[in-house]
Amino acid sequence: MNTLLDVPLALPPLVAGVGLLLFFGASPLGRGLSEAGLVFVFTPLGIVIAQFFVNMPFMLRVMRSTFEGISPRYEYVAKTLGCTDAQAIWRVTLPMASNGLLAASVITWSKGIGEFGAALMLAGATRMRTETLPISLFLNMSCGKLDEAISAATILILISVVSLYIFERQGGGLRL
Amino acid sequence: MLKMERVSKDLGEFVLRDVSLEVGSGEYLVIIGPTGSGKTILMETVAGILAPDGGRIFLDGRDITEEAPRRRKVCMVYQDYMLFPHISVKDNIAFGLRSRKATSDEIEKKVNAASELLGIGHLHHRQPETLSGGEKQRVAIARAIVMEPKVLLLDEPLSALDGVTREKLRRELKRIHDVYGTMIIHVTHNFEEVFSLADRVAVMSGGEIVQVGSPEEVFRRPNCEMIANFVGVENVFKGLASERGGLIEIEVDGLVIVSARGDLDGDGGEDEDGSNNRRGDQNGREVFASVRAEDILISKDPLKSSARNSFQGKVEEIANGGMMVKVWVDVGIPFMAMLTRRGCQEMDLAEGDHVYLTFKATAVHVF
Repeated sequence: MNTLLDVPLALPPLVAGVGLLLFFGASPLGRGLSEAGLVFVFTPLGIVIAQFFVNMPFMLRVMRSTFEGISPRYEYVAKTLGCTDAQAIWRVTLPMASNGLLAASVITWSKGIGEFGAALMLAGATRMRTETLPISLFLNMSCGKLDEAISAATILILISVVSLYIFERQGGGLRL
Repeated sequence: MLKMERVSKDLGEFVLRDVSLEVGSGEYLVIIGPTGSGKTILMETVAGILAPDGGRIFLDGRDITEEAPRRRKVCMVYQDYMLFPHISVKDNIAFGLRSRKATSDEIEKKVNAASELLGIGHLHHRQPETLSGGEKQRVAIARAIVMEPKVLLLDEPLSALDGVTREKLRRELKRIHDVYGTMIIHVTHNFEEVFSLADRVAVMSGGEIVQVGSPEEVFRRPNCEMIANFVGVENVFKGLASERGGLIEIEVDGLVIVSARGDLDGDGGEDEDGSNNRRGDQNGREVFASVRAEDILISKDPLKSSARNSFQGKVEEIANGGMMVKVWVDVGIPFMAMLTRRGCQEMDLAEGDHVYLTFKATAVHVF
């Protein structure tokens, strides 16, 4: 199960994008979804799916590391102090994990923002429609608009620096 | 009363094997045993955190084997405190009462009473991470006793603390026990805690309870080598026993130690190996002999006394341990004797000195 979840980590995003494209474009399930109004191919919705698919295992890894860092004895104590299993998680484990979860969300979000390959394949690179920051960078670069390309790059750099800072602050001991 | 009947649990690395144990209401039981002997599993089984593989647990006649931890009225305090780091000290103490949906008046009253008893009222608004070890452990204990549990489980509560704090908290545990009258089961590997706290002591080894009795009984008459080694009887020797004139002589590396206590005082019937031999024929049997360090007298000249055992030897090492000084003397076999710091100074004892060791035949315990 873990290995299966980790597949997108090892897979080149471009290949993941092709896989997603085939899945949503050519499979019966994908066609069914688009008939129901959920069109992922060459739409902004596709960006969301691509970013989610590629980065979800990363998020899960950071979360696993967060929860593994919390001794189960906190929950044991909570249970002897009158908590049900669910209450112990809600009142003790989750609050204790909150910093780690915040850190995980920020760093994953930042990676998602920068997602290029998979989004390019599934959502295409349509100006003003599926133009994420990295796609904008790529489009501007390829038609020689250096200034626009550099602005997109600068924003991406800022985002990554800020999120790395938050990650280090909040999730100090987390392993990726 | 807590009653465990043949409780077993296998966690691979740690096990419990057929543990049967009864603890009376209001009793202070100390469980002592080396690391990895299954003490913590035993506690977690009583608390309901681990479900036993076999056996039953009864509390006041009610079978609680299957009951959820929160309904058992059993609270647990760990060595490393396990204070919830995201809430204040006061919220930590009130945690259990809040789960129980107590009124805020009641919470206030009980939290204050427990805090006063433990002297931690002034810490209420602090965050747990800012406390010292002793303070953390007091908060952890307060968090448990406000629940007024029927059983309070303390898993090495003093082991992580420094000497002075440990001593203080030990006295406070005694006081808490007197005030609340709760049954306390206290796990430790420090035998000082046994003497100062325990009504009874249980010795654990390899997942089994190997001896239960008053501290005096267990320490003076350990029923196997493991206990003797473990409970701090330093002088444990293996030798061949022979009986002579009502006394037992044990030959250890050519040295003969005389014991008057080979007959195991009638309570040795349950031991697995060699128990049949104990009554009559002691001749040529391999036995262990132990002498408590406090029972050995050290002198520079031979002592004239009725004591049967007197050996001459050389002081190998002197270790200063606070009030008491430990002295290792080689008389052919290594002995450890204890004397007060004062006594040591008055004798002007130094390493390399030739001394005499004297102890009575009744101080030698054979098993």
